[in-house]
Amino acid sequence: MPAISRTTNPTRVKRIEKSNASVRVIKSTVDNAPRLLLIDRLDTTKSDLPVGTRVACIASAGPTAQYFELGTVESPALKPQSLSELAADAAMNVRVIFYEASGARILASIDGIRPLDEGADSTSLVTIQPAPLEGPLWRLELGPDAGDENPLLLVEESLFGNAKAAASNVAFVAMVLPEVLRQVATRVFDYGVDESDEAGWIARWQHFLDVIHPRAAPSDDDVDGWVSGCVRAFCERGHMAAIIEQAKATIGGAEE
Amino acid sequence: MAFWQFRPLNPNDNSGTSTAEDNFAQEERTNVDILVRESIQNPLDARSSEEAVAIHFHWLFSRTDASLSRDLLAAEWRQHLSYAGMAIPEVSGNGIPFLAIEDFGTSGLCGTYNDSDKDGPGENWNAFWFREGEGVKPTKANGGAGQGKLTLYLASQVRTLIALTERISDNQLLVAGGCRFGRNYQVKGQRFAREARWGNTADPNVLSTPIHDSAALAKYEEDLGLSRANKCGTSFLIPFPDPDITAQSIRAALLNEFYFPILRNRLTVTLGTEEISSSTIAGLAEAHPDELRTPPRYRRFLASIAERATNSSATDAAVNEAWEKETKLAPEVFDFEQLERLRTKFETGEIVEVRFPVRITTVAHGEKTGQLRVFLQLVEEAAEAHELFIRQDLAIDKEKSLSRARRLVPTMALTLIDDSELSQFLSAAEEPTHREWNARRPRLENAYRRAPLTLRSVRNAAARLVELLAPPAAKDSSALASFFPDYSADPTPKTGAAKKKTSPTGPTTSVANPPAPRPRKVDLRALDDGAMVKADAARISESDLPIHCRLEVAYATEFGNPYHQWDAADFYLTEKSEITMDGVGDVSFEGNKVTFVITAPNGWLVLAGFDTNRQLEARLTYQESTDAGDIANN
Repeated sequence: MPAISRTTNPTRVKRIEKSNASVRVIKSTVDNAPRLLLIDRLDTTKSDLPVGTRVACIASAGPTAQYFELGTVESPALKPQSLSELAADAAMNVRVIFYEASGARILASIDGIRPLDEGADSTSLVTIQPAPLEGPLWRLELGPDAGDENPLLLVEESLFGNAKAAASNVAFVAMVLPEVLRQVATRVFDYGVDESDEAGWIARWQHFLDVIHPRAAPSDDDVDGWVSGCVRAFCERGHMAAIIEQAKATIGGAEE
Repeated sequence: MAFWQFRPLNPNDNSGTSTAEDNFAQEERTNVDILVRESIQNPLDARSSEEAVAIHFHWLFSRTDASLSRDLLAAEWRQHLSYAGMAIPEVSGNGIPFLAIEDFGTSGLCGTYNDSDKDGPGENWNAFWFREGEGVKPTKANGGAGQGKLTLYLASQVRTLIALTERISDNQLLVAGGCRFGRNYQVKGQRFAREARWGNTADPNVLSTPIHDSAALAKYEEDLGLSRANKCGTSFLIPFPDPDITAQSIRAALLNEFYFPILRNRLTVTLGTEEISSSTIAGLAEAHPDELRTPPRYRRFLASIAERATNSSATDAAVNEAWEKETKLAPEVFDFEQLERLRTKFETGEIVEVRFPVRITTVAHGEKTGQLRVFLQLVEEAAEAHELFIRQDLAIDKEKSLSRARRLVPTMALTLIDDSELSQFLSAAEEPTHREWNARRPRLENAYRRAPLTLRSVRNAAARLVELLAPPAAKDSSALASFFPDYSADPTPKTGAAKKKTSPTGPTTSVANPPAPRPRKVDLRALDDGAMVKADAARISESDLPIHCRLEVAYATEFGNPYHQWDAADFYLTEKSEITMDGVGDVSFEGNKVTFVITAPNGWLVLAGFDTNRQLEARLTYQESTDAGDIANN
């Protein structure tokens, strides 16, 4: 029998495409510590939401759910959230809602977001490898502009025996990765914008930089400003921001 | 009856504070940690058989009018306490509080008690009451510095200790006590020694010996509710215990300091009525995670090792003596096949065990060979390495070696020294706190040659093994994904951006045009407060009628199927519901469903009146009279 389904929308909630958000789940390296939910990207520029609209996120897995306030649409606080109450053995679904600051009316939502789990299927724009460097503790190698190989971050093998050890080290991540981004962003700028080039590592990085620091292509005399803007945006987002805070507390030392 | 004895100093005696107390003045471990560590070391050393040593911690009270209380809190003692700048805490209605630390299955404080000059093996009584810094314990024993007993005094707010001991040597039950003031003190211009004794005489010119009158001892036991029941060992009684010493803090200290020996069934502890043994310790650790310094993963590692530690045939490999000659572990010190199996096991995350012979050069007896065992497990997802050295039953937890490994991989490591020769050597190297080794300790230098080299071998065996077994570093294209995500590989790419090609393409073939959709004859429309079903007169002929319809509605839900979650409390459809229609008949209602028949080509039905603050799901199923033909066309 034919069947038709409809959903009413009396309050005119806007449905924002899932492609405007991406979410990750980060497993803690500390035993028994809960996983972290990281809203990697939230693009509401085309949604015409009023200034001051509040943002919240609901993560659900099986019979459990957790609710997080994320601030306002013009400056969402996308710091990692602890999934301490969420079931770890069920698939996770995330919904982001935008609601009136003055009332409870939902103005828009992004539904059915699946997290990109950490694991073999989650690819990075930077490959990391321990190697004997005989001097410096790290070095970034950028391949040919037209190539497909992602930038390679070499780390001194006597310091880190494997890549995960380096990626888990707070001091290393906090101090090295912003500079990695700076070097890559500078190369991307030097290469220039080529909208016909959809492949290659430079295109992937252009896409990434456009997401984290969306603005018009910089002019030649503004390269430093644009690159610094990219670095700043990188340091202020999600997992990187949390790592920097942790580094400040650890390296700077907590007060007694 | 026992008496307090306060000894005036002669004009040639020194005054001052005890330097032994400085050895324990540290911030890293609490007083309770130190008390538990030191009070359990002794019974473990004095075990009389290979069975587990049993220790009982419990809190008791002695009535203020009981003979023990009267003898202990004598007026003279209170006075000297006051002279020494101390005060007795208030006594509650329950009486004088005591913390009892009792051990069973040990030898008790054996040896001469009539002659404090006697020294040597077996003279534990004199070593405990009359020696400091001169451990009489054989150096294979866990402790040996002779300073640990101080912690028992420090556990009392009045720095007082009583010991009731049943000796294996002569089956005598003895009791004696003492008080350690912070420093020598003055009474009306006369200096007095910081140690006061509690025994058979108050005369400071006569050796204070223990009470062994059975009637008096029975009374003391009765006063506290103690009963050793003729079992050898010692009951240490600490009056006015430090209020920080609670069951919780003792349990935390036990779990942190003696987790492995309890797991191996070398020690069982009763804390009040709570048993801490090999069968309960893992569960206790799970129940009190905040109290533990050892992470759960490492505790599981220790549990796996505890079983195999008693099984000598479980060793995966043994190196030959040449390993000590180089600073790196060469593959040649292994049997080739053993090494290959070792590498495979390590890389797949299994626990591996390797035995290392260690050369020891004694002054008295020349060359000997000791042995240690290294257990390793690779844990790739861990952020850092975790390691421990254990000498017999004692965790030497300030010793760290893995950070010196040239290729640091996340590994769990245990270096276990069970061997008596090597344990004797290391005991001589231990600082009084027993948490780290020092190659320059006088006792070590007096008894051994090339001690720094031997100690270096012990410290570095695990690190060298990790360096040899660690797999070569490989490129990792996902480790930094949370920082530099590849958005172009996202399965729902950004609008307008081309999808990254990830699979090879084959020859292109033309795709057959899909059939045009059949226009619906009935439509369902969402309204603000309900739903409307409308027949399309342009597409319906008389032969299509009647059209049987079923409309199901439910408020939208966040999770799950809204129709399954519909509840009669939300709404219940009846004839009285807000429903209008034309060209429709045979309407019937059932909960959240309404069934009807469209009888006219332009028939319609509106179901309304729902909450306009909520979304409503509507599902229409309908059956045309030509449905059989439709199926054939499909």
